[in-house]
Amino acid sequence: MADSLIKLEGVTKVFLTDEVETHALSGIHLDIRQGEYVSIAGPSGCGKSTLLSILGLLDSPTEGAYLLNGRPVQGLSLPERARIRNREIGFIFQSFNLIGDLTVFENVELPLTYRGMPAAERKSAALEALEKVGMGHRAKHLPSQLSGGQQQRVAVARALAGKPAVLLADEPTGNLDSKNGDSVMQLLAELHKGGATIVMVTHDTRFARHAERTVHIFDGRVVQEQVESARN
Amino acid sequence: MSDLKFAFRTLAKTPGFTIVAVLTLALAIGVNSAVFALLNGVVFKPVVPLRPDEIVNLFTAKQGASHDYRQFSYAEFQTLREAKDTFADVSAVQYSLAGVGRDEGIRRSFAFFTSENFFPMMGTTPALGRFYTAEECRPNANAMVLVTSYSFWQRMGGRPDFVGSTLRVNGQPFTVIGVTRDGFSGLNAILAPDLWVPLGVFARFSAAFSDGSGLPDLANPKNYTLNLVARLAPGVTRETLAPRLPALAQRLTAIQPPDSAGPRELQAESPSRFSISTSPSNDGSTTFMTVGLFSMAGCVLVIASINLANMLLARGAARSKEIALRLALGATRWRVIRQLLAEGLLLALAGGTLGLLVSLWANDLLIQSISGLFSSMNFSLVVHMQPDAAVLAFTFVFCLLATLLFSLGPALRASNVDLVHDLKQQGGEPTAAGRLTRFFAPRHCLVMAQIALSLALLFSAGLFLRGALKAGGINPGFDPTGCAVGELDYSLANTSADDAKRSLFAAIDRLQALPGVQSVGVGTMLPYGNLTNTARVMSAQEAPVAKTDPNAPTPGFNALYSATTPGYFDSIGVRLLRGRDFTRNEATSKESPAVAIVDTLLAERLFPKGDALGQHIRFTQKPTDGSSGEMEIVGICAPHRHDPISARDLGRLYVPFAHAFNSNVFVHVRLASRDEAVTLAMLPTIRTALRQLDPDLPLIQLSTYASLVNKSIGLWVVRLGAILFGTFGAIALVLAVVGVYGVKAYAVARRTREIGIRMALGAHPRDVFGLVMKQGALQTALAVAVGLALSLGVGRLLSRLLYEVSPSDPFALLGSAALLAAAALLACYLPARRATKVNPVTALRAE
Repeated sequence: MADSLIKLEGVTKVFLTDEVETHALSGIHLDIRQGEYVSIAGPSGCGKSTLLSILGLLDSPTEGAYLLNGRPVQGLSLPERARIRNREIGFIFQSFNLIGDLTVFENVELPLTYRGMPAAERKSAALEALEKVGMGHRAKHLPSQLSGGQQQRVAVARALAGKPAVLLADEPTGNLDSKNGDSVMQLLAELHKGGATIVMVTHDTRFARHAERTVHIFDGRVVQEQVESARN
Repeated sequence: MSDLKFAFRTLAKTPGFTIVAVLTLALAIGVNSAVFALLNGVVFKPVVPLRPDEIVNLFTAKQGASHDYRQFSYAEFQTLREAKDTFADVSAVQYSLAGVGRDEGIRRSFAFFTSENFFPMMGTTPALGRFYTAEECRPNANAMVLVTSYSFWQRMGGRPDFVGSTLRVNGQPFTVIGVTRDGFSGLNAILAPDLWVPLGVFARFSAAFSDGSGLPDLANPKNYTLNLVARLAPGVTRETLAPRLPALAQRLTAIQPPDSAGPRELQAESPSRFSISTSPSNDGSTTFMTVGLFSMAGCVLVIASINLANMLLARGAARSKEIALRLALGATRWRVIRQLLAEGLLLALAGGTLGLLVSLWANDLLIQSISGLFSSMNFSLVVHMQPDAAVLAFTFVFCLLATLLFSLGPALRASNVDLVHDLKQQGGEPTAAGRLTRFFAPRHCLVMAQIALSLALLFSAGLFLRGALKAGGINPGFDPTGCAVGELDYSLANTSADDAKRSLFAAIDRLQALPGVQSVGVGTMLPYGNLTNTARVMSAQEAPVAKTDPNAPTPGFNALYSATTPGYFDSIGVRLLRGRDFTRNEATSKESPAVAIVDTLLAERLFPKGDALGQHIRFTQKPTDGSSGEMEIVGICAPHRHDPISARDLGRLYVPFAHAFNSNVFVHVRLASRDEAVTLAMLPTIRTALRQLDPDLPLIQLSTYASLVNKSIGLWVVRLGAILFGTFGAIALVLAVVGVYGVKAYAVARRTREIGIRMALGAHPRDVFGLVMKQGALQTALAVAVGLALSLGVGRLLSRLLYEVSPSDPFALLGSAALLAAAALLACYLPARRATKVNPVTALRAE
């Protein structure tokens, strides 16, 4: 069995609103190996997006430990978390989250600029990522000139460009029609075959099945884990 | 009405926005109201109550020498008064100063001698009592009656029995027979005399002003002392008047005494609102000042409106869903625009009301400043800057103008919505647009225009400030530190010339004996004071030129002219470079040899190739006392300024006091200590010493010379310019900072999700900070570049108002640009800092 890339131990997340405590996550234990394709499924409001935010170091747990590549990361400073997000994590969002006034190429190049990568290297990495998702020919376009499916492909290219340790996808097909949704899922499957570690949040069991393993969450707790072979 | 009600409710829901908007408008509308109230009181309001267009001032010059003006004799006045086909009436006016009260309470006031028809000709009636009669105005009638101004009556307590009371003027009892109406000034827009005196007492008044060699008797045909004001006859206009004047001039020439200076010309001009002069003077600079002030105030209004427009653009964008909903529910676009304009109008009215209070306060300060300037003199200030109907109407117009300027554009934009898109849109969602489009988005263009305009105003303020600093820091060439100055005016006590001289020299001796006093000297003109006397002198070696050609250059040189006593130069701190000071005998006896002291400027002009010391000079106009008028130069002193703003190229001529007696003198007391506190502390001792000598001594004022220099009109004018333009500049700066901050804060709020995305992708807080600051810096740089070009243009326009400062002064230019850029960047800093605190989870959840 390969080493854990991501390990959560008793992770709890509590939100305080007007003196009301909301337990978004309660004692989550999760282990994700290098090269694994995991989907996190559950109904709306069950805590799956909160879990993804914690995995992506956008948020930190109230309790528990998070080890990324064996290194505890739950207590890091903001700049250090930013650095890890930039180098180790690639995000794919439901609504693509491309920046409207940057071209496709500049959007893909953006995380590399924060890494301080020289321009020539950035260019080659960004174009390579765009070619990988079949969007090399639209590099000079603005996001508004692309269809939803194309925008999500660009978002995937942006996530890939920095060669992160893990791709975190939050409902990547949520804003797409079924044809484009299938196409994006196909793309993620190809990336996984190429060795990428993918964690995908979805409430659609149809898409969850693309993953090797599905973690079901309900009311902030892991209630079931299914592996692909078990499903079959 | 329902629009206004809803607007009120909407604005009440966002108190922060409403307060900032109202304060911004209050500043802008307040400045405009203040400027309008000032110009309305000083420039626009007619001075003459009845048909002012029919009133003209008359002037007479020697024929062919259009600049050789003199006043009119009483006989000439009577001749012109008879020209009923041209003038409905002609009245005579002469200006004077009078000592009101007695002993220590004596105060100097403006007094106007007029003929009895002056008041009816102006169209005014008395507020109390009556005006004087023709009999009381007959030359040498000596009816001891007078009329006071309304303001004087109020200052005297406003008692109902004031008419009929006795007032001591120039040491003589006068009966008050009437009070003018409030605000009546005759022909001046700013000041009115305290006292109106019948022409019949002119001789009695004037005798005290000279040593008796003058001709105060009005009946004397050579006593050219009256200024004439006329009302045109019915049917005569200013255009048809001109051809009639030569015939009237002939009538004047016909009545000249046998040895007079030849035929006369007659001229008629519109009365000046500000100056009192024996030669025509126009108010041309007033137009320039009016345009300048309105332009500056207008700029402030535009800048504030840009601010408001930006705020409303942001507000409109944030309310796009609400507006789309209204339209979806069936509202017409005009209905929505009307609603948004109602909000703008409500803001403008609230700002205008507050602005009116700001303008009242500002103009009150200005009035106090003017009053302080003439603290040694009593007068009735007739400038009314209280908000009358015109000011209120203009303020309302400013409100409407501001509403249109700042709310029409945003209202049009906000009401032009894509219903489907905007109803779906979530707050904070960025629209897809190129970077250039975002950089030059309307709100950014507006804020850049605002920065550019603000820079032009700030630069103007810098120019005036530099001028004020230069004027304040200039070396006057004399030393006011450690010097006390007392002003005596013996004419106010009706003291004869001989008695005045005796009293004055006794005072000098008394003061000289005080402990701590180094020297005491008297002069008839005060450097940096408010009066200027000049005389024209030439070398005695030059032959007198018979001036047959009126265009031939006048011989000699004009010089500032003052009569002094020994010790004068030591007392004011001017070095006597060569030769000697006047002797006591020269200063006290008119029979002593005629001598003079000149400064190096005049010495070099009169004798460019030789030594002036020991040379003889004379006045270009022969003295009336029959003497040769020649003087020997016995001393040469260092040059020094007469006022801080005029050119420094007029030389100085001093003669012994006895040779040019004047009842109005300045006593300079130089102390051993140069400490101003010591000088201030010495004033009561000096006052007591003078009072012990003569309780009736007409001491008008006693203060330190440094404080008098500080109150110089020249410095006041330069400082007023600095204060006015500084105020405009400061307001522009504040508005620019608020504007930049508002736009940046709004931009950061709009870009929250983008910032969240960037942070999710690994942007360091400094990257986000740099992102906001970089855009702000680029926009500021572009705006400053445009502003610099604009500033250079404004500097050129202002060049004639500047004091010893280049219209493209690099310090003012770079200083104001640096200040504005720093302020704009500071305004970007806070939103940029806020951007670094964006929580990516929250920002992304906004989707």
